[in-house]
This record gives sequence, C-alpha cells and structure tokens, in this order.
Amino acid sequence: MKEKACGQSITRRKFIKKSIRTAIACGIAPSVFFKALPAFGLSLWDVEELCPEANGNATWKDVCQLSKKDIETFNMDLTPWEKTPRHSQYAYVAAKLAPPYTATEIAYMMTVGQHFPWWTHEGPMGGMMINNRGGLNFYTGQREVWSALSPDTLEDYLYSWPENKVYMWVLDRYHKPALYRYTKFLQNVYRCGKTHEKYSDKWRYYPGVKKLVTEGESRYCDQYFERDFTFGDTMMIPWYYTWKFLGTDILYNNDIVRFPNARKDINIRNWDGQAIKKDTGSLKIMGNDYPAYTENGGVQCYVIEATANCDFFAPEHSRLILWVDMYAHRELRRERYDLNNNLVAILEARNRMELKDKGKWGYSMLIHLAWDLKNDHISANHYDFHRPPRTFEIDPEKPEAYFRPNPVFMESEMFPVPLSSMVFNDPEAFYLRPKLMPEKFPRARKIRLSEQTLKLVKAQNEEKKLVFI
Amino acid sequence: MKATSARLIVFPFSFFLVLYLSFNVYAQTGQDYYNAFDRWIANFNPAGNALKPLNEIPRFKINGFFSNWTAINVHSDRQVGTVTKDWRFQEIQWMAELEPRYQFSPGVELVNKLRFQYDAVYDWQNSSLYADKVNKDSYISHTGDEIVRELHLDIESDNLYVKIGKQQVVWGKMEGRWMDFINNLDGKDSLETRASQYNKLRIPLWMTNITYSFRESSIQFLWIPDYEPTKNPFPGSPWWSPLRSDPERDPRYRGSADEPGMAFKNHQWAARLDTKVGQATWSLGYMYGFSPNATNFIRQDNLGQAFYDPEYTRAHFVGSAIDVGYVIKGVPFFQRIPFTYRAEVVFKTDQYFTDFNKWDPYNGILKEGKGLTNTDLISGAMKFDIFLPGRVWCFYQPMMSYYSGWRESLGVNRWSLGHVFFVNKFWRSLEDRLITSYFLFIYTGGPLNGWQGMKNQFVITWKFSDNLEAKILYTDYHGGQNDIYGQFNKWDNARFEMNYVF
Repeated sequence: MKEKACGQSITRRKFIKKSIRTAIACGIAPSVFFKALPAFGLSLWDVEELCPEANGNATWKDVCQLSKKDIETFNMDLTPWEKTPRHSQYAYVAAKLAPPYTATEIAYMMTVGQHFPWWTHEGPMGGMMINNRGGLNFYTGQREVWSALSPDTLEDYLYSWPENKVYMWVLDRYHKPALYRYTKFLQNVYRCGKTHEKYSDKWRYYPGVKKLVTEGESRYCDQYFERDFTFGDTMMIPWYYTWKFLGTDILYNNDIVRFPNARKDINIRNWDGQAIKKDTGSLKIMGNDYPAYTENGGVQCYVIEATANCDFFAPEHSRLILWVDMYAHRELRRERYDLNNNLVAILEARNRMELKDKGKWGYSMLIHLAWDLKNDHISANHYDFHRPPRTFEIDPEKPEAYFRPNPVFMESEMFPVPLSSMVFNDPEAFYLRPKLMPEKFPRARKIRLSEQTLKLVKAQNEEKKLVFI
Repeated sequence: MKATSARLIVFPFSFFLVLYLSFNVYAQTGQDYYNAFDRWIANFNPAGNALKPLNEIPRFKINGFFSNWTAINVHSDRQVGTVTKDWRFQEIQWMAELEPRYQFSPGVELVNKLRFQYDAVYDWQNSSLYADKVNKDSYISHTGDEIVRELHLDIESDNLYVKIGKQQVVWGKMEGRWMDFINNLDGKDSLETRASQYNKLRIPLWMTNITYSFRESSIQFLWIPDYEPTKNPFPGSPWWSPLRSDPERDPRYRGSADEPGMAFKNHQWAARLDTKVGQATWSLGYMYGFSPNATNFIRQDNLGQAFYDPEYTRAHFVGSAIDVGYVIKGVPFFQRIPFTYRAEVVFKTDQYFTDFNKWDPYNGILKEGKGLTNTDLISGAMKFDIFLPGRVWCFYQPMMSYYSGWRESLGVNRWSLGHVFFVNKFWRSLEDRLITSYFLFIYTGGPLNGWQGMKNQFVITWKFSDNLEAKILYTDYHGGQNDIYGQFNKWDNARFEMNYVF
C-alpha cells in the first residue's frame, strides 16, 4: 500500500482504476480535440485550375443569361419536357427531331453511338484503372459489334423500331489481365420502353471454369468490375431521364482528358493494325477534322441536366449533367450525382472522326475517362479504331448466327483483331483527374471532396502529373 | 497527495500521447511502405517479362501460371477411424504450367500446355503418410503423359470448330459436376476440392472434337479413343477416408483394373446440342463411355475363394442444362434485382453397388452373381443467383440424386438432397481487389442415413495485381463420424493459395 503525502492510503486497485480512467480520457481527448478543430486548409477554389476565359468573359452561361440571339444561334428550344409534344405511338418520346432542339432531342442525338458507334465494326479495346496509391491495373481485348441501325437513322430507332427488338450485339474478348485471359462477354441491346424494360441480355464465358453462363440484367447504376464506369454510362437510354438545358459552355483542349506533362506521345493503331505514334499535344477534343472549333480552338457545348424519370425506374443516382458539343452532339463531359445530390463521378471523352461519309455521325470515342470522387480512382477506356469488320461476316437478317451464346463459340481463344496499343503500365503517365470546374453552374452543382483528395488534386495541378499518397 | 495525483495523471497521459503520436508516425510510415509495395506489385511479372522476347515472335505466344495450394490442419494429432492423423500440412501443392501456342494462319492454332505438379506434403513434414511410397501419381508429375497436359490443334471457320488432340471438354453450367462428365477429375483432395479448381484438376483426354453451328444452335461430336479414370485419394494420403481400410491390405484385392485399351470397341462417344430458346440457353448431351471408377466385381477362384475383380464398365450418360436471366422488379428497398436461374439434370446408367444379399464381405461368401446390383442414377441441381446492390452476389443451389433400382441391401441411400448457400462481396472501396465469400454445404439423404453433415468455407481473395492473386480460406466439417462430411470432422483446415499468371 502506498501512502499519499496527506496520510491517506491508495490501494493498488484504485491506482489501476485511476490510470485506466486517465488513459481512456487521454485516448478520447485528442480525437475530440482534432474533430472540434475547424477543417483547415483547402477549398475547391484553392486546389483547382479555373477554366480559361474567352475574351475576358466566362466561357459558360446559365440558361437565364442566354439572349434571344444566343438561343437562335445555338438552335435551342427551351420548351420544358412537360409541354413537349409526344410521339403518337411512343408517348415517352418527343414527337420531332428537328431544330431548334429541345434538351430532350439533344439527348437523343447524343445517345447515337455514344459508347458503341452505331455501325457494324470491330476494334481493339484497352482500359486501365489507377488508385490514389499509384496501383495500376489494365485490360486489353477486342470488341465486335453488329448494329441494325446506322447513325443517320436515329428517327427509325426513335419512332419505328419496335420495343423488345434487338438492335445491337456486342462481343468482347479479353486478353489481359492474365488472371481473366479468354473471358468473353456477349450482350445484345434492346430498344426498351414501356412494354419492354429490359435493355440487354448478357452472357459471360469464364475460362477459369470453362463455362458459359447467363447473367441477369445489370442495374443501370452498377459499375463494371474493376472500373468506374457504370452500365448506364455505356448504354444510355435517353427516356430514362427528363432533360433540360442548364446553359452553354466552351470546352478547350486542356479541359478534357488531360495528359501529364511527362507524357509526350501515344500509340494509336490505324485500321490496318499499325501502331502510329502521335504527339499528345496534337490530339484535339473532337479530332482534327472537326469543323466547328471556335477561333481559340474551343468546342461549344450545350450543358444539359438529366433527372431520373421515375416512370421507368429508380436508379441510385438522381441526376446527370452533361456537356454535349453543338455540332456532332457528342458527349464530352458527364457528371453523376447521387441521391443526396453530391457529385460522385466525372466522365470525359475525346472523340475523332472515323467515317467521313457519315458526316457528323461519323465520330467515335477515342479515350473515355472516369473519376470516382469518393474512392479517388480513375479509369480510362481506349478504342484505337472501329473499322468495318474484316474478321467476321454477318448476315444482317440473322446476326444471332454469329453472335450466339454458344459454349463452343465462346470458348475460342483466338484474337483475330490486333490488341490495343494505347495502354501502358507507368502510373506517372496516367491522365490527370478531370477538372472540377467549381466556378461553373454553381447553383446546380454540389461538389465535396475529402481533405486527402483535395490535397492530391492540388499537388496534381502543381506538378502536372498524378501525385500519390 | 498532490504529487502522487500529478504522477497518476501525467505519466499515463504522457505515455498515451507518445503512443498516439508515434502510432501516427508509424501508421504513416506503414502507409508509405504499403503504397510503394502496391505500385511495385502492380508491375510484378518476372516470368512475363522474361518471356517477352518469345511473345514478340510473330504468331507465337507463350503464357503460363505458377501456383501454390497449402492447407494446414487445425486439430491435434489423433486416431480417426482407420487413419492415424498425425500431420499438420494436408497439402503443399506446387503447380507450374507453360502454355505455348502458335497460330499457323487466322483460325488455325496449335496449343500446348505443359504442367508440372509436386505435392510436398510427404517430403516436408514427418508423418505417417505413405502414399508417395506406394504410388508416385499421388504427389508428383512423373510421366510424359502427365506433363504434356494438353496438346491440340484448333481450327475455326464460320460454322465449323474442330479441335483435335488432348483436351478438356466441359459441359454444363452449374457449380459442381453434373453434366461435366466427359473428363474425369483428379480428386485426391476429396471433399476439399472446389468448383473453381476443376479446370486445373480435370484430366484431359485425346479426342476429336467437332462442332457445327447453324443459326443460334450448334451440335458437337466427340470421338474419344482415350480413357483416364478418376483419381481418388490414395491410401496413406491426407484425404484417405477414415471409414475405409487400405485395400492393399485386404487379401481379396488381387490387383487394380486394366484400363480400357485403345481398341475401337473401347472408344467413347459423345454428342451435344446447344441452342437458344427465347432468352434461355439450353443444352442436351449424351455420352456412351466408361464410368469414372472401376467396379469391384466379386468372383470366385478355382479354390472357391472370393476375390475382387475390378473392371471398367460402360455406361450411358444423358444430361440437360438450361439457364436464363431475369430481373425481379418492385422489390422493397432493392427496387430491381438481377436474377439468374440455372438447372441441370443427368441420367447415368449402370451404377454398381455391393449388394449384401449377394455378397457377404465379412465371411467372404459370394451368394449370387458377381455380388453387385446395377442401378441407374438420376441427379440434378438448380441454382438461383441474385445480385444485390453493394456488389453482393448470392446463390442457393439445391441438389438431388436418386437411384432407380435401389434396394436396402445396397447399404447406401436411395436419395440424397444437398444444399449449397453462397454469399460473395466485391469491395468497391478497394477497387474490387478484395473479395470475401462464404460457402455452406449441407447434405442429407434417406432412407438409411439422414443427416450427412455440413461444410463451411470462408474465403478471402486479394488481387495484388493483374497477374497475382492470393486466397486465404478456412474450411470446417461437421457431422457424425460416419457421415459424408462428418467423417472429416478433424480435417478442418486453414488454407493459403497463391496464383501467379503470366
């Protein structure tokens, strides 16, 4: 027993109890202390590069800032969806597709060949995903697509293609990663609507067990395995949303799919399979053949907002905001918001002209980038080319004679099309995170990032390359 | 008093402050090391890099894998039935495979898979295991036939697929082997074997495989002049059943069966039709071949002594499989749930069992015929897969079998009913690199033995990179000592698997 100076005794048990209480208090106190401190340091405005201004003015305009002349020049029709005339047979579709365009009609045109060009084609595909620690994974493979529609027959798709009828087949063959080599993914795509809600049948061949299995239709908001893209990102169904204009904007080369300073070139295969080295600085958002660049090399865009249409389904995201170019109606940037209206993902795309005889419908995606803000991963998909098929033949009356969920067909371990040359394994050569653009459309956009992500974005913008924790 | 109070506050406070601060420092250092490791392991591919010059040869590719499966028993040493269980490791399986392939022209490719396998469980520990001394097949690849695992010429054209050579052909869609009866299995690990391992354990056969496609359908013909029986656990191996005695010690065993030769009459034949019916895919297959194992007929020698005369017997196998995908709509909270339904049914003839009305093994008296009764087996399974939000995948698979022509004197159940439950989660916050799974297997039957035990399996998979993944598993078995699962009650084990693919 110990004696205090005042004469009282303290037993060993009391000593231990007091120590424990003190220890608990010491353990809790610092965490309370640090939580009580105001979040210090960074805001979006501190870390992000603000977009360049054109002639001293902001490049973006809210819809209420647009003049009558702007609206006429940009071929915009601000009639809300509730008052838009509907098609007689498909009441969920706007009745016309002609300028001036409503936001809904812009969405219809944007859907055409957004992810899969609407012409029968084959081509390499490659993709990568990087986390904020610098861990990089990638896949390569090839894709074969049959399309019953062509880009210039959008009205056929909208107004006369029956619901429950397949208009596209897609077959993906995976070469890498090595763990999933020879995996195949087959899907068809239906025109879906009120009487037929399923948009796709899916089959997957798993080489690890040598079995072909049917998969249930994925949820629209489900993400692909090891990727930040959702099924909805790659298979947009415009009437699943209600559309309206938010305004207009101009995007420049340095606003979309940004290369790090150290990455000077990129290999892209041509239709003959040759890998051609191109200077990354020479790649433009819409390619070299785009006729509608502004004098500063920008691309004028509609900015439209999509709200989930509860007549069809209730997805786990509530809103999208898209930047769509005004000439070819290609989606250049997409923002996905969750049910609490927080920004959860930003997607960007660079395009190029591939089929000149299709005019404005001949564009296809070159690079597609997605940033998952919550987990801070970035994914990229690359498509070297989408050439008319040289390795398979399709009877247009019977496409399922080739695209068949047949175990022997899907077991094939051959890759007739050259593999993508655009993937790489250097984390420091990866694309920069998409710009946050906090100054644009602030009323419609709620952006919140963790402290760690803010620091990484700041470091990235200072060093012009990804910086890892 | 004041000085003592001060000590009681100051010393613990100081200690925990130092601990808190140093934890942060070390945590940061640990994080830095992990980040550096993550970046390094993403590019870890030494074999792939070494083989890169070969892969740049036009039309030539060479891939492969290297894996290790190690299982550690968690129980103490003891006698269990006929087995003296005195080992710690149940498996230390090393497997290496090289897969060169050469494409002669578009659609024509020669594929070779060379495999070397070695189970170090006999050499790397002291135990009473002795299978390695009796049969080299129990632990090491030692023949050319085993090392040349596959060798086939693949020819693909628009409607015709031809594959000639040593290969595996897999039918069916279910978790487990139902319609998957073309190639037998290396089943040395008995009940521990998982469906995801079948690809590495199936025994390839020399055959000609021709498939003709028309519209959405195809018809496949297999001509199989080769035969390899199932490999069962060897006496003296870790998975030898504690309910069985070593047949080598039974004087009635006078040798193993001769495998069917290459004579035309011993060839196996199979055909399969695959088609798409609406949204479903459907498959119907038939094989005329040999049963997976030899049948131990009982005969009498000139002295009237009964002995076992094993022989490979012919059987007919008919199977059908279907699968279809749906979406269940209007589910509270979940809204829409993707759902897949699969079913397989198989009919097998000529399944022989010892009949105690015809053969008295205890007294060695053969009463009738060859001591066995022939039955037919009908078995099947259904699978219900659902995909929940949050990247959770579950399935439930009930499985049934029924012996037609059964009688009580066979000593086995007439019917059995098994259940498999499975839950799996992909962890999005870790880029789907972490996958956690749980399996539950339950077996019942009748009318002789009801409860047949259960097996739990917990699996954690971590994908280090595109080339390397590792698994940690824990498996436990429950049931009565005579049950299918319960006999391995003391075989519960923690398992580590590493798979490097290049």
